[in-house]
Amino acid sequence: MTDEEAFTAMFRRHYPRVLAFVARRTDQARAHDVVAETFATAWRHFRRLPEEPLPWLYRVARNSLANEERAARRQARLAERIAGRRVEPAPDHATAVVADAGLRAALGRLSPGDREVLLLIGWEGLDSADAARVLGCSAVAFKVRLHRARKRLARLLEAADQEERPEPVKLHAYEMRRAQNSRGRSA
Amino acid sequence: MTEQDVMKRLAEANPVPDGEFDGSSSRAQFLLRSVLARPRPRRRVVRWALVPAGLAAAVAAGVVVVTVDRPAPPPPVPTAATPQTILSAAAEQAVRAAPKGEFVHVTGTVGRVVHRTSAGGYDLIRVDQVQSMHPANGQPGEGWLTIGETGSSVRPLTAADAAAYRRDGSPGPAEVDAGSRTLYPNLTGDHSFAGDVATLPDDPAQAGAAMLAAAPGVPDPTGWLFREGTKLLDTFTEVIGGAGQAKVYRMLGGLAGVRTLDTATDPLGRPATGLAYTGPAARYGTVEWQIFLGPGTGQIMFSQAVVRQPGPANAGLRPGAVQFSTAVTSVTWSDKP
Repeated sequence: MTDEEAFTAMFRRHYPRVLAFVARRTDQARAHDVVAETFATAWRHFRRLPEEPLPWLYRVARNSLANEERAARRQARLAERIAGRRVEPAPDHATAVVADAGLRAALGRLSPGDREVLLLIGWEGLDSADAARVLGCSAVAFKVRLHRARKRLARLLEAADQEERPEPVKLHAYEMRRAQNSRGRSA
Repeated sequence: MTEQDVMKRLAEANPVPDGEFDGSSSRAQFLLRSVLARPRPRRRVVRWALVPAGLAAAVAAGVVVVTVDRPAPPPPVPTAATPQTILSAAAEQAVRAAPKGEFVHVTGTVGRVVHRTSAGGYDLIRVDQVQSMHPANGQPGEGWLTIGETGSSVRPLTAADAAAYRRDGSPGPAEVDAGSRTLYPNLTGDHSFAGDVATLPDDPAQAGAAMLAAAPGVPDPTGWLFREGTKLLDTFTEVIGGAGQAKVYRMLGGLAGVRTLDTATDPLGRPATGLAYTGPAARYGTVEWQIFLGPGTGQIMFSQAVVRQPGPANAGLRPGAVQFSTAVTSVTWSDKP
């Protein structure tokens, strides 16, 4: 099998998952650019790719996204200096796109490191060993980080759900009596 | 809430479910071809060898590096040919090219910078899919061309634009005004050449003079001839046959100021020969007009207007930004329209 044929097979197997990984972390418009850069890098280093390249591809995509975010922060600082006022940073995309309001708030309060540990397991469906390869740490270290991040998210989620719960309506004493009487009649 | 419940809730909130994307989509296929067309670096194998003890005094570190080059496919080499040589060869190919069918079906894209005034002002790149069908070899008959009907996309031009784009609610292509949907935005206010190519003289200089006679008073005659000539050679519409194309190629070959680009590929990484002319573009500053000819066909497969010095109409762009581009991605012949 030539390199071209082997790369084509690898591309067809992993393109959907790499694009989904990036689309969960940035807008669709930029996602395609990041995926193109990721596979171009994979082609340059194809002979040195690990046998199971998906964690490696995720890692390259993360680096590409991080480079874009650094560039965006530099641009924002420059814009601040020019405009003479603070430019509000854009919220993290992965957090902003979650529909569950309580979860969105809790994820937003987690550190980026904790969030990524949880998303690699919860959204990408990786096991600890592969997720550790994405982050460049040992599997043992990853398990410790995952355990702590899960605990933090559970705590933040409970707090966020409390905030989301509507306050009980305070009834006037007369209305309370009416409510009790009507319950008594219907029973 | 248990930690298992937390992870279950997180998994259920996944915004992009697995199976959302297809590895055999046309976009994926196009990316795959683009990536495979890119040159790869030559492989260098580094071997470490211990230095014999007798030589250790000469090398304090005790190791030497031996670099061995292994044969690898040679990367594309930038062409050193002159524009005249390239365009003369393209003229020969146009004359010799035999039609492979009655009709030509072409697909590709047109991209352009769109400035938005909302969210403090920012720039987007809008890309529209292009499809066309026309009778082969400039034969009379009806053809059609669509821009954006089979798909469009927008993306921020720079990281700073991305921030403004998000603040603006990340509008999709339907919400972004495309302006006039044409293959070649008229940055210079040019009058289009409307004459008959068949009646142009065979001599390149006289052909250019005859074309200019139809547009007196253009501020940059060479730039106008380069732009109008390349529009006549456009692959999406192919308004003229092989003999007419040969005349236009030779006319372009006679223009002073056209130069060969130092590249062996087009911006999509496909093997190609690039030619360029740099000139004034009224309110768009100084623009480098680039065309990329496919090997063996001489057809224009990519063209772009690269901003060298922004003007009042594109003051937010940096030198090197692409104001607009057209890319031909497939050309197929058929006996059916």
